[in-house]
Amino acid sequence: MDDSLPDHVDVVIVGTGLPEAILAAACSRSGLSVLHLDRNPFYGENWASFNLNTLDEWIGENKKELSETTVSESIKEKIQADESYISFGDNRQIFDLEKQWTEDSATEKVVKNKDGEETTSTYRAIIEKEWRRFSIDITPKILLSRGTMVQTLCDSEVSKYAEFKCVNRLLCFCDGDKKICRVPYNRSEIFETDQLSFVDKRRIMKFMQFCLEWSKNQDEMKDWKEFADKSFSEFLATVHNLEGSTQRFITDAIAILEPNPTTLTGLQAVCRFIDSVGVFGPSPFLYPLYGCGELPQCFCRLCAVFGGLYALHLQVDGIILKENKVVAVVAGGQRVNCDHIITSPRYAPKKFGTLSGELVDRAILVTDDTILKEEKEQISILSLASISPPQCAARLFEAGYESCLAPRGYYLSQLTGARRDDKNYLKEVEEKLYDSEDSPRVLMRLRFASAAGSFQYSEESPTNFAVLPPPNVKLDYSDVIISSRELFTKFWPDRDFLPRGLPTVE
Amino acid sequence: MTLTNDDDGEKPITTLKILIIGESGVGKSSLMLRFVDDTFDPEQAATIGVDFRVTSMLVDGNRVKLAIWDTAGQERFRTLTPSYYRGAQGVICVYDVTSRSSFEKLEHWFSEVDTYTTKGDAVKMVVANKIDMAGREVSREEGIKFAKRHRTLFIEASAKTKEGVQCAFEELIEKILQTPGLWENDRPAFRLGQNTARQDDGYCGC
Ligand SMILES: Nc1nc2c(ncn2[C@@H]2O[C@H](COP(=O)(O)OP(=O)(O)O)[C@@H](O)[C@H]2O)c(=O)[nH]1
Ligand SMILES: [Mg+2]
Repeated sequence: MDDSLPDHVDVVIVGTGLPEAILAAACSRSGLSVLHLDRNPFYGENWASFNLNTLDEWIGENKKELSETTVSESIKEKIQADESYISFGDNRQIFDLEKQWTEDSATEKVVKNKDGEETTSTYRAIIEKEWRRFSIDITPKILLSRGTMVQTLCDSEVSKYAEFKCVNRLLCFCDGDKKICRVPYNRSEIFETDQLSFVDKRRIMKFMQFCLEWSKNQDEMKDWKEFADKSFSEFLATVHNLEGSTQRFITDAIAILEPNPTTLTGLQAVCRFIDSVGVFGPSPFLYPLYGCGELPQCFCRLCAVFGGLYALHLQVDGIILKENKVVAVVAGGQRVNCDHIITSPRYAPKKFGTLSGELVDRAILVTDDTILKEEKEQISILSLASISPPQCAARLFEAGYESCLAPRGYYLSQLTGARRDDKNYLKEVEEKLYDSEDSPRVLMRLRFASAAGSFQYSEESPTNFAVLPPPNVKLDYSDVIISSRELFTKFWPDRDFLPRGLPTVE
Repeated sequence: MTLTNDDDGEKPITTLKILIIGESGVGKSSLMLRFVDDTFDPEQAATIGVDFRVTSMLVDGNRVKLAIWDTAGQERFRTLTPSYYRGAQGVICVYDVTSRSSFEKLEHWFSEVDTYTTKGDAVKMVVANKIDMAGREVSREEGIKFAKRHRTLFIEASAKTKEGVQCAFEELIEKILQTPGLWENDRPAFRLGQNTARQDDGYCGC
């Protein structure tokens, strides 16, 4: 077996997060040679999913002090007289990590062993024994049935590497935030729900009809333009008589793709929602079986099928420059010449720029039950807009055994929200949700914040070097496809981005 | 039991996911192409563009669909994705009888299978490939001993001469079908872009 890297490739991509994986697939698919590297031993960087054991390893890695990079003699030998060298960055992406097993996890539970005998065991012991059954997303998101991610997956045929399920429950608070209830997805669910009065049902249906027409010819429609930049709630109340918890159905849930909307962005969000309803089922939202960490791996596989070369758990040293252009990387002690280098924010040398500094707060809970019991296990999104500042875009995603995220009988409850004014609002929200008598037992809790925002290039950044964005707070994946495609067409304007109809790989 | 590759248009009772793993160059892609297409290309350099192949078999009168997954070259630096292993019912671990190191690396591949396969009882098989070649470095006995220790099936084969190839797949499939619960799907999900998409009741009813 040959362990050496090639002398030259067209593109070196560093970091195997989702945007990097999409770009690697696009490059490889269009005939460019790709070398895809990562310091981590796993795929996906901050877009990965972990089981309980690999989660602990990840926590350990992210708590380590970052060491200063040094330039060794062997690297210096690889640099020509007219070239310069700069080390890859090792920029921290995960902050404020804390993990704990709760007091409840020490509670004893009666379980049956293999021979059917009853023994007792603590929740923690039961869960830890099933460590492989967990798939914990660092960045949980959903796919819109008719969104750009699904389109790209289908066109590129990456879709054949993954399976999906519908997010079958959309929930929000009703009755003055005291109760959680189900938001109807479509016309028949609206008529069936007992959460709405007959009058309100008529009003919602009328509003939906308005949105459908609006999506076709908004320019000719009346009664909205004067509200375009004003708050969506005001528009709903004034023009459509939608108020109180009926209004919240729209603002918190149906328009969940655009938290804190204006009338214009709110209407756009509702239209994107409606457009995706009924494609794969009543729900407009899809979720990958085994978690979101599957997606980067699927794109990496496509890259590999077209000849892309993968090396993980590798020392990724630095970049060789000549006349302010990148000409090579040094990795695993070897020099690989290349025409372009694309990295995730982790690897960007500070001299070439930094992230704008936003943070996304996350909380991951292992619970023994769902937040809203029904006969069958559900995959749910709960909008937290009414119990947190709207700018936070806070929501909860809950799934379990049926999505291959947790052992049978247990749930993962994943909270996400943008940090505003240096405050982690999720903590309060979590307490509200899980502190009452009859709420599910929280057994394990992990909290952290992840770097978001956009990469701000410095003047010194070479033109054939680029950094892809970190995960943002948005619920769906559209932005990820847009930014990856943008960068691809900037570097290779004559090439198609993951075009439809693969050449058959026979 | 009868096994044929003929397609009689019958609806398959199940689709099985079969993986072929092992070191680079041991003949994984060649074994797959020999089995599915009955071809062998001695010039086959790095395996670019081989993804997975679908074929079917008749087992005791029942049609069984097989999706056989190649590594897509990701084994070169031992960077197969966990997602590659998901849902696999059968794993073929290949070594090259003319390469001692490829045999010694089997331990690594077995531990990867144990870590990542989601079905605890997935059936494993060791295939000793390239028995047509001179310069053998691993004896048949050693291969059998290894397979015994790991309680797996074992077969010697050559993708070049066909020897053992059909037999290897047949034995594996047979064992999978005999393992209760292994091939029934308990958590139904769907793939995008297939005919699963159905137009449901939307808001417009149009
Ligand atoms: N003589 C001989 N050569 C083989 C056999 N199987 C594969 N090869 C050759 O070994 C090389 C590597 O095979 P390949 O299928 O690409 O290996 P992979 O990397 O494991 O997929 C190719 O040159 C094949 O032609 C075999 O059974 N006998
Ligand atoms: Mg191969």
